[in-house]
Amino acid sequence: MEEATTTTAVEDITPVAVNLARRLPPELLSDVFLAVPSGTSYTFRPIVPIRISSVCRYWRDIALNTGALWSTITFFDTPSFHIAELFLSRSPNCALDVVLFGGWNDGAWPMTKAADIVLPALSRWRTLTVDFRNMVEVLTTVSIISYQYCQLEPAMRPHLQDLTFASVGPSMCAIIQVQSCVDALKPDSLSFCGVLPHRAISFDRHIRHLSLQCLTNGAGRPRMGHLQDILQSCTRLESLTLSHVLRSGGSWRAERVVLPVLKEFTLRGGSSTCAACILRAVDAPSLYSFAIRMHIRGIEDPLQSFLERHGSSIRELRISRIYLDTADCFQALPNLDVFGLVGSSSAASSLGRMVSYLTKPNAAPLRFSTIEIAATAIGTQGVESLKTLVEQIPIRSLSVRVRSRYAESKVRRSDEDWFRARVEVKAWVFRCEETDPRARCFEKFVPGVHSPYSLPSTAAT
Amino acid sequence: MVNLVTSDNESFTVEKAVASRSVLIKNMLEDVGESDQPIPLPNVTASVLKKVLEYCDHHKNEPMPTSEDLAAEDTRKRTTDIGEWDQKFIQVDQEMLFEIILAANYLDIKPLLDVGCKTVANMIKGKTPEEIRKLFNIVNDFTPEEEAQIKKENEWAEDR
Repeated sequence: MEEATTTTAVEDITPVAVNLARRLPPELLSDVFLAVPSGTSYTFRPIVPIRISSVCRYWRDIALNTGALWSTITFFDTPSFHIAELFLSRSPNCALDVVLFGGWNDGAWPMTKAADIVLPALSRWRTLTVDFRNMVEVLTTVSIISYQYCQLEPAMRPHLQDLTFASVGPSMCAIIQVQSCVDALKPDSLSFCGVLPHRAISFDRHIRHLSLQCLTNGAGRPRMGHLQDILQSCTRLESLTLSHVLRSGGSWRAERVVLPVLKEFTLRGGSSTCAACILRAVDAPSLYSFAIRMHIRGIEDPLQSFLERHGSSIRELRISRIYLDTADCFQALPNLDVFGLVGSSSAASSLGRMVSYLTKPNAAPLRFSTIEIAATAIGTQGVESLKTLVEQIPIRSLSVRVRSRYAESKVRRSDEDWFRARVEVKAWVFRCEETDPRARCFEKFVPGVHSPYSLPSTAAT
Repeated sequence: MVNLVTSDNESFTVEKAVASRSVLIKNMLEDVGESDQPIPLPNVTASVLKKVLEYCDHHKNEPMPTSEDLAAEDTRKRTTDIGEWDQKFIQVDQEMLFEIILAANYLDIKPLLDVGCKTVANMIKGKTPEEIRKLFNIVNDFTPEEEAQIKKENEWAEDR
């Protein structure tokens, strides 16, 4: 009797409460949970699933039955071992993303124990990230992973989509372990963050996707010949991303870097000297999508030459800024279908220059059907220029993602309606946030200095 | 034009292009062919359908998501981007928000369902369990034993 009275009392006090907690059926609430952003933590702390499953019994039951919610297995300090075991038990049959930070020093819970916990599920691994800053521990761990992988029946071996190494230093021991891990796991995509791989590492020529991300402060910068060797050895690359590549010396040999099946190429940040060498040397006859997100002043000539060499195959170009003279690059791209202004602080000036380009007497007509804007700001003037472009170019689709608002809500809605009346608006988003800031978590690390828990927030580009 | 009848017996006459944003209605129209027969929607009230139709009308000229689009969305990273018009549209009280999600699910309007789910997901983002309970008026119905286990899990995961 007393229990019944208590229940009634709760329902009386919060009639909406019970409704909202149980309003959405499990499959929809499960979708909601999977859509909750992971937040701004650079440490991959798996806090979202834990918090969601701590709200009420109904939510907990659904969260515990949503395996994908628990599929990122992260080791970052001693208590995370308990969390990892919990997540593994709650994500049966799910593909796993495994992250091994090297950030703790606990004799009772070494990183090798992390491997013990997660290796029984090796056949389900989808991606693996290994942080090499705690050298001693990580070497043994990587060695165990490679060995265990080779022990699996070939049919049981996971098809690893991505293998990421962070801060692999110049030690021969590290190089040997990285090499054996790459050779054993044969990932589709290979990424090095923080420090470029040592020249002694040879790349599996079957690697299809390669990402080399140097530190933004220039540490780990490669010698030019080394970078050239890496690129020349990856003849099967389909996508290549080079971020913040700065030159530390050496010279680029007068040899071409031929990447016959490269379809996507992104050059982001770094020095103009380095970029100029790369642009002059790379030959990618199948190149479909090219993105250059850096200051292009000073590399106009190699950029123009690169675009002319690849003009017939490039369908997508994303660039951070257009100058009036660089707008001539469109002449070299007769088949361009997608044009993006991506990563600039303000899109307004570039859009204005594109409008000016259209009035030039001998300007080649712009024929691309899609414009993508992803910038920090656009401004009223930028939107007006965009309208002019939409009126003068046969645009079919538009996407605008800007981090700050340019006018009051009424004006933005009216502008959106204007665009919608003319083209398909795929995105009209202001105040958008970086999708996954953790993707940049190794950018500012300095090799040898371990402080993964106090990284400053960095602006999205 | 298409005639839709809600659970509270209200009738809405809308353009076929608007009604067909709903895969459920589109399939029904294809099954029955040309007909003046009203389409009953027993799971949707008039106030909710009015709102859903406002969304469908705004997006009526956009291409319908293909099965390839939906598959690609599953494989690539999920984003919480919501278009500006959609954000304004979905600024409703919680009761209506949940009703829109349910209606979008029933009527099979995937883009609207996404907007609804992302909106609730954004409301949850960065909040502690207690803040989430407060936000949605949810009662903590864990037993003391469950509470102890949950406390332990939170201690493991939270930044110290």
